[in-house]
Amino acid sequence: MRGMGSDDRRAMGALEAEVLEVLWREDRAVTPGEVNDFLGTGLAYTTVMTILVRLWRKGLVERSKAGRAFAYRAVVSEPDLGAARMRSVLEATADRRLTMSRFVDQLSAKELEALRAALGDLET
Amino acid sequence: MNLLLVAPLLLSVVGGLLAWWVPRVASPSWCVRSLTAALVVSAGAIVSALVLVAVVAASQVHVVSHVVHWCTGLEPGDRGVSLWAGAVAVVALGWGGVRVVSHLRQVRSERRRFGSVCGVEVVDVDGPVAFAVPGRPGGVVIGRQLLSELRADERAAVLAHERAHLEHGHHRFVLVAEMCALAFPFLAPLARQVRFNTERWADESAAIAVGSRKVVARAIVRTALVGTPSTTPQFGLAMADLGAAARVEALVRPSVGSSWHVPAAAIGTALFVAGAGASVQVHHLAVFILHICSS
Repeated sequence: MRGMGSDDRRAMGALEAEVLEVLWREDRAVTPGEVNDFLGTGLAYTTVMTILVRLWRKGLVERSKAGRAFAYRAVVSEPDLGAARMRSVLEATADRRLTMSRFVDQLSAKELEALRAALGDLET
Repeated sequence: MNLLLVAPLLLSVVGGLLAWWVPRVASPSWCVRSLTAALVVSAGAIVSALVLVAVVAASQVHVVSHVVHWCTGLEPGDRGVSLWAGAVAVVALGWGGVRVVSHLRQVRSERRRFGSVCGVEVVDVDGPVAFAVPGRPGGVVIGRQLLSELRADERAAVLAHERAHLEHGHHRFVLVAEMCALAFPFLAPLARQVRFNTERWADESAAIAVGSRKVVARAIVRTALVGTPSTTPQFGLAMADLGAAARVEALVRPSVGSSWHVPAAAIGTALFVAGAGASVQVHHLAVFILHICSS
């Protein structure tokens, strides 16, 4: 059998984030079929299943029987969540410098103050 | 000769104006594209000018002129460029080249260290840690403390933001822009705008994905408040006016219709490209005329 090509592997990495995003957005147990509907990209059911199982193995989602299939729900505060497994990534994370786009860069004290005020408005 | 010095100066001034103007009229995605194109063109123009200065100056040295005698444009005794100008050009090229190469090497080794990232990885680390790892397979790394402090919709927004970085290959734009800025530091304002606008681009993508600009803004604010990153950026990326606050404001401010924005950006880029190209042409012309006159 042919192994996964690098394009397939890359697609897998991106899809995993996409599927988890759906689960985080929904914040409830979702079946693979529903995930596929939310993605709306016409993926094969087996592909969605594969990704959900990968997420489950990583401890990022939990699953429960829903009829004949499993339903999946995002987990957040599992104690051992992936931490040991990704030691190499953790070490690299500590001294990564510029090359990865961060979600938020360093801020000044003044900026933090402004943001704290903004959060109040955003939560109303 | 004077033109050689003036051209890069003009480019930097126009570039600075462009960095100020384009983000005001164009969507983030067009900003990233047009500013990156402008950076590449101006860096190319400057390199070509410096190389010509160096070569013309070097042609006055007997040994060199002997080697390059096949090129009719470069004859011994061409007084177009003084030797010291050539030396300055060589030093500038060498200094920029070294900086670019060492940056590339650093990027490559850093990418290698994240080679095991595939899909979403949660790491046991405090602080606002969330970033995209480009490449094959690539993915997203998120710190556990951040995850636990975000609400479910905000987590989705963070993930959608990082996914947009991967999907649109933002790391390529940032890398190209940064190399230009490293080689020629006066291009740094443009490169900073490129980086900032990749963040804005990803924010807008995330807003579409989660169906709310407010949720994305809230995710940015809450992430910023989680703490400060464990590492300090090497050089000033955290410009006060290009940080999280500016992104939040752009998200909260009602978006303006942008039917004329994209053409405006395209025209701006075209002008800049033409200007940069023209400066190179003028330079070639100047060298050519000097050659004719001195022979």
